[in-house]
Amino acid sequence: MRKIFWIFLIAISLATLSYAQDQPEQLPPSDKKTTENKQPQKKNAKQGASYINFRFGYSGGSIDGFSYNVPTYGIGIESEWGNNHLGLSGHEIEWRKEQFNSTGIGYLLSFQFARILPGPSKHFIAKASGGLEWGVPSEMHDKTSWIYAQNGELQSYTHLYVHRNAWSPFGAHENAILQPLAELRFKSPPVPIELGIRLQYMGFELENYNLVNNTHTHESQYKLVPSFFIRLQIKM
Amino acid sequence: MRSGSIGLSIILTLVLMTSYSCSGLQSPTEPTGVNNIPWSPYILVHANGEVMMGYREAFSDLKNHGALRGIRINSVDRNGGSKPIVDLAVSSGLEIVGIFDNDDLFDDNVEASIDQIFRIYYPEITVFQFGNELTTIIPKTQPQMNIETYMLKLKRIYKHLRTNYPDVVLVTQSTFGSGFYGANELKRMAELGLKDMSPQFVILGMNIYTESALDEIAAIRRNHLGEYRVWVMESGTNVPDNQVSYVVNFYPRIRSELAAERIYWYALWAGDEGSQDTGFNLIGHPQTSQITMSPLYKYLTGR
Repeated sequence: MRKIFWIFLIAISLATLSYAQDQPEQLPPSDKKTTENKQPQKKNAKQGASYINFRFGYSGGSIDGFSYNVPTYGIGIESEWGNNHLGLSGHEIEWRKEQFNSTGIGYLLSFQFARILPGPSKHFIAKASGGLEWGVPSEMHDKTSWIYAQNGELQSYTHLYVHRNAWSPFGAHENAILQPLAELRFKSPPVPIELGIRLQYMGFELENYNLVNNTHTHESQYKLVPSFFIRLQIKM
Repeated sequence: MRSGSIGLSIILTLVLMTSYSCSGLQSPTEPTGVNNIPWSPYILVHANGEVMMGYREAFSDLKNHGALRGIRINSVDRNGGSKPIVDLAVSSGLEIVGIFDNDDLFDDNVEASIDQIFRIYYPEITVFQFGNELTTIIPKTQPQMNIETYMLKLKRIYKHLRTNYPDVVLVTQSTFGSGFYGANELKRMAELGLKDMSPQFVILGMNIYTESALDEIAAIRRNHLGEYRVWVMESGTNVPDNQVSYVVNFYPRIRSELAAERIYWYALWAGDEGSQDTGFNLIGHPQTSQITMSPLYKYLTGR
């Protein structure tokens, strides 16, 4: 089942990439009236490009007093269309892995649309992107703190965890997340490296158990979680 | 110069990520444990009158080293066969969880069975677990009980306890400890009325032996039963040389991911040579005064 699922996803991403590369240059209707107008338009059309990206990232900080350190790596396919469509200049699909010591969890798949931002020169390119990420997250944001009495008796504890809000084809099917994300990336051609920051909008649940009073409280919250990354790009 | 800086940045990033990845294995919020490993001082013991001598020595030794606060007795039977172990545990100052045997759950008058068993073991024991891997552990040649029937029984048990033994805490049957069978079963239990029982008197019991069982059951518990406390009633490895590393690497994940208050090691003794569970043992040959000790036992007692 898992193999079929991943083969399906890879096929979709390759098909998407192929579609983007095969799209003919579309000219406005007015340009089709005269051949004189066609030539300048073709001359202005930019060549699209596709890349394989290798991501190395890190997210660290504190949420409700719980510190977290989440390294991540990933691989993806990115397509720059050459010309903007609906204000967008490209798209990408990426597979990302969190928590290297676990084989069962920490696999995420994202799809983003991007726009190249106007920069000061052709040697400095800034790109903004946004999209959705789906997958089974790691447990590196899941934390529990414990309070014990002097005699070793457990008094209370607090449990923080990422809200799993999506279905997955794996395991018990309730272990996935679907979350929006945005990225800002910078690169300086021809160096094939991007530096960037990512913001993920993540849901968290906070459970508190007091064994002395035998009470339980629960709180939901959403937070923007930043991470930093480097991407190595190989042009296809 | 420029490419050198970029290369250095990449190497530094990789080094940082690797070090953070390793540090991520342990939560800074974990209790200190015993001898600096995140041990949970709870152990399953098999009730067997022949091993009293070895158990007495192990209880005392482990307790003196802060490695034992409570035990889970594998069966509290209506014939009183576990009474000597219970008395020993009480005299040793240990907390006790008694397992109401799977066989007794088949009794049509389960309330009468409870009364009969409680006449022997209550109030020395005030925490009872009703069933253990009920839908998976019974040999297929014997009568089976599905989770739907179990939940009907559990509702009756809960009602009987609340009415007649209000100070008794009920621990649900342990779900299966490998794969995601246990997670699906726990979800079914929630759908079949577990959520109607007060979290103040009910604790979720589960066995966790594998990473996949942990990940899946944690997801189900969060989504459906977040207000309930969790005790992992069995965990461990049958490779003696891996016992210490198992506790170091897996216990913190159980505690962080599942917020399990207790993790009971399986087992203090599960039989000597010839038993397939021998590798789980913390001690061997408890029938004699010369018990043998597993690597984890030695670590816990500073040997």
